[in-house]
Amino acid sequence: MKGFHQLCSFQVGDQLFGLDIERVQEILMPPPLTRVPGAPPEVAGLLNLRGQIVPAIDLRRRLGLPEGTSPADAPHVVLRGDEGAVSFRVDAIGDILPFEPSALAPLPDNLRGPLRSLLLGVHALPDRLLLVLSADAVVDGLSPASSASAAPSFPLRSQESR
Amino acid sequence: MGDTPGWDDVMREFLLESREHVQGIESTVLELEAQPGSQPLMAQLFRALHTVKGTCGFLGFTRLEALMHAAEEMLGLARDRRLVLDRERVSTLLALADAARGALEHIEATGLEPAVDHSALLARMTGAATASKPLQVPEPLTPPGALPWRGAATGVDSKLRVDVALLDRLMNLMGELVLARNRVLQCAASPTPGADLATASQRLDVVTTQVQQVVMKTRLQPVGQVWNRFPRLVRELANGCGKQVRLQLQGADTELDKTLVEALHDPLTHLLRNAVDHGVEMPEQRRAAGKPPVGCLTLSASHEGGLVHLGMSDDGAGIDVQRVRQVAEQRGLLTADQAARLSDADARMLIFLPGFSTAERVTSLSGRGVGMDVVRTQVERIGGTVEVRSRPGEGTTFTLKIPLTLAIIPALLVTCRGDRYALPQASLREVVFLEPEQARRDITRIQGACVLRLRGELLPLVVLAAELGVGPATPDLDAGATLVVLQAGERTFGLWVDAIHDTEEIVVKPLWKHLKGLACYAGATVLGDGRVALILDAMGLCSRVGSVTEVQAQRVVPETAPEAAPADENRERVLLCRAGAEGRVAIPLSRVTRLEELPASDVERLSGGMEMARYHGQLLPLVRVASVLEARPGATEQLARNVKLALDDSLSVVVTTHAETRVGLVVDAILDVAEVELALQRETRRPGVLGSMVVQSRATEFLDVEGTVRAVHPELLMGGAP
Repeated sequence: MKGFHQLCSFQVGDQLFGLDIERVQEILMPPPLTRVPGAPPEVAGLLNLRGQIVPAIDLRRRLGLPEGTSPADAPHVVLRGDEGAVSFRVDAIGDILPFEPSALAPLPDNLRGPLRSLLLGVHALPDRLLLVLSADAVVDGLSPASSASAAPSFPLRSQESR
Repeated sequence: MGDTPGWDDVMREFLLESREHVQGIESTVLELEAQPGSQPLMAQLFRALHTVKGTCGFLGFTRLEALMHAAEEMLGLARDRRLVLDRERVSTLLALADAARGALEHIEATGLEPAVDHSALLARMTGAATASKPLQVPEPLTPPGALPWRGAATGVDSKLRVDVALLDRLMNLMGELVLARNRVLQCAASPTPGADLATASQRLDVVTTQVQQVVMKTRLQPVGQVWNRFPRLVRELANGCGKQVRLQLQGADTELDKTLVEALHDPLTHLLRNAVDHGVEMPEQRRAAGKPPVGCLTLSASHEGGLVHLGMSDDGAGIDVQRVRQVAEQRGLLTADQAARLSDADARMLIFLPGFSTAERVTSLSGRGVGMDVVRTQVERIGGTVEVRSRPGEGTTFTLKIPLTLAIIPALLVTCRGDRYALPQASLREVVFLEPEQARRDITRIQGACVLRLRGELLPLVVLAAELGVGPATPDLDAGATLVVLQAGERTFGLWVDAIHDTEEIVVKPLWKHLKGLACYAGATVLGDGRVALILDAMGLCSRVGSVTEVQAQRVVPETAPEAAPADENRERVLLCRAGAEGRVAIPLSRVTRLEELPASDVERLSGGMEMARYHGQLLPLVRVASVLEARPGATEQLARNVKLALDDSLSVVVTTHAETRVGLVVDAILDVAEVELALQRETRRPGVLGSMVVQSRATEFLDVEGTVRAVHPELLMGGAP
C-alpha cells in the first residue's frame, strides 16, 4: 500500500464521502440518463460516455441514505473498473483531499446497516467526518437484476418519488 | 539455444507451420481412407510428413522427427502397394497426428519436446512397415467423447487470418476517415459552418459506412474452419458405435462472422453425435432396409435471404414420432390425449426439451437428453432458429438459420412511456396499427391477457409498458393500438408499444453484468443523438407470453420461464366460462382458436335442431355447452327456446378446431383465463365433462371438448375415438 493517497470527496445527503482518487476517471456534469425498467432501484440508468455505455448508480439509494431530492444538476463520479467504467450519482463534488491511510479510523461500533459493509473507514477532518468508501464493495455488492424482478408492480414512478 | 536472437520468431514460425501440416496430414489421411491408393493424396501426405520431419530435425526435436520418419516409411510401403492402408493403419496415422499435436503444444509451452514414450506408436508403424501383416494388438483408440484434439483448438482461436488486400483497403479508408474528421472539425470551428458542414458530414457518413463494411468482411470466416475437425470426429464416433458413416461437406467456404463460427462449434458437434448415434442405423439394419451399409451425413452451408442456413442431414432411420409421443407421455410431459393431438411436426420439436431422450440406454455418446436442448439454446442465443424435418426410413434434416453477424444490426426504434427502445429487425414480422374502433373490436381482454384477432388467428399480446413495469397491464383501447408483431423461435406475438419510429443500424453492446439477468433486454446501444437505448429481446419478452396461443407446440415446448413453478408440465391454461344457470366450465386454452361475439341474428336453425352461424362467409356449426351439460332429453327443444330468448342478443362463442372443421361452442359468458393444476376429480360421469376441479375456490367442470361436440354434431368427428 502506498504511504500517501488522495481522496476525491463528494457529498451525498448530509454526509461527506471520499473515494481513492486513483479509481476516479472523471467527473461528469449531469449527463442524460436512460432508465432501465426492471433494474435494481440502485441503478439510476445508463449513460453514454464517448460511445461507451456506462451504468450509473444512484449512490444515495445504494448507501441506504434517507430518500431526498437530489439537485437537478447532480454530478456523476465515473470510476474505472476491471469491466469498464461505472458512474456514481452524487449530490455535489467536494475538494481533493490528502489522505494518510494510517489516519483512517475504524468504523464506530454503533454504525450498522448496509452502509457499514461499504466503508473502508472514517477519516476525521478538522471540522467534520469523511466516510471513505470502497468502490469495489459499492459496485460488486449490488444485487444482480433477475427477470423475476423485471416487472415491478406498477407504477414505478411512485416508487421513485417516494 | 533459447537466447539466440531471432529464436522466438523461428519457433513461432515452426509451430504455426507444423500445426497446419498436422491438420493437413489428418484430413489427407481421412481422404485416403475414402479413396485408397490415390497417388496425388499419397504425394500430398508425403510432402507434409517430410516437411515436419525436416524442420523437427533442424530444431533438434528428435522424437517428433523419428515419428514422422516411421510414418514416411509406412506410407512408402503403401505407395509401393506392399501394404494396404486399412482401418487400423489409418487409425495409427491419426494417432500420429494427435501425438504430433500434443508435442507441438508442449513445445509451445516449454520450448522442449515432451518426454512422452512414443514407442508403442512407433512399433505400430514400424511393425506395420517390416512385417506388412495385420497388427496383432492395436493400441486402443481414444474413447470418443474424450477426443484429445478438441481442446487443442482453443489457443489458436483468438487469432484471425485476414487477406492483406482487405487490410490495405481498410488502411486507405482510415486515411480518408482522418481527412473527413479534420474537415468536420474545421467546419465546426468556423463561425459560419453552413453548407460546408453538410458536405463534410456526408463524406464522413460515406467513409464510415465503407469502413464498417470492410471491418465486417475481415471478421467473416469460412464456416469450413469449424468443419475441418468434423470428418475425424465422425469417423471416431462411428467406430465407437460400430457403424460406418461418411461425412460430406457442402458449401464449406460460406462465410460467417467469426464469433458465430465459434458459437456454432458445439451445436454442430452435438448434432453430429446425435446423427451418428441415433440417426444412422447399424450396417446390417441398413442392408435389411435396402440401403447401402455406409451411412451418409451431409453438412451444408449457404446464404439465403440475409441468413446463413446450416443443414445437417443423415440418411438414417428418421425420428420415430410415435416413440417420441410415448416417451413424452411416460415422462409426464404430456397427457395421452395431448400427445395424440400433437401434430407430427410439433411432436418432433419435443426432442428439444431439456432432459428428453428416446434412447433406451445411455451410451458414452448420448442418451442423457442433454444434447438437443443445448443445441437449441445455443443457437437461439446467437439469434438463430432450429428446424427439424424427418421421414421415417429416409433420414432426418436439421436446419439452423443464423444471422450473418451480431455486432451491427438493423433495428426498429419504438417508444414506451417516453423512452426509446430498439427492436432487432430479425425478429420483426409486421407492424399493425389499430384505430380505436378496430382496437375495441379486435382486441379481447381476458382478465390479464390481451389477445388480438388478426386474420382469423389469435395473437397473444404483450404490453411493453406493463412488461417493463412502467404502465398499466391493459392500455386504453380508445387511443387505438400500435403493435409490432414479433417472432421468437416458434412463437409469434404482438408487442404493444406507444409509438414506432425509424429504423436505424445499431451497434449492439452487452449490458452491464448486474443487469444481465433482465431477460427483456438483449443489450444496449447508443443512438444517433447520443442517448443510450435498450435493445429489446424478442425471446425474453416471449417467455412472458405464457401459452395464450392456439398453437399447441407452444405449450408443449415451454420457454424457460424462470419464475414458472417447476411442476409446470401439469399445469394448463384454461378459459373459464359460464354455461347454464350456475355452471362454470373450463376449456383448455390450447383448444381455443378464437373468441367471438356473434350477433344472434346470424344464427340459422336447421332441421333437427342443429344450429349454424354465418361466420366469415362460411357456416359454423354451433354447440350449446349448457344444453349438453344439462343433458336433457329434449336438448334440441331447449336449444330452440334459447335461440328465441337470445334473439336480440349476441352469443359468446368459443371457436375450436377439430381436424379441419371449426365448431363454435356457445357459452353464456366468458369469464376469465386461469392457470390450473390438472388434478381432475373424475368421479363426475356426465357427458361433455372430463372431471371437476377447484379453480379460484369455485368448483369448475373441465369440458370434454370432443365429447361436447359429438353430443350434438357426431358427424363432425367422424373417425374420432368413441
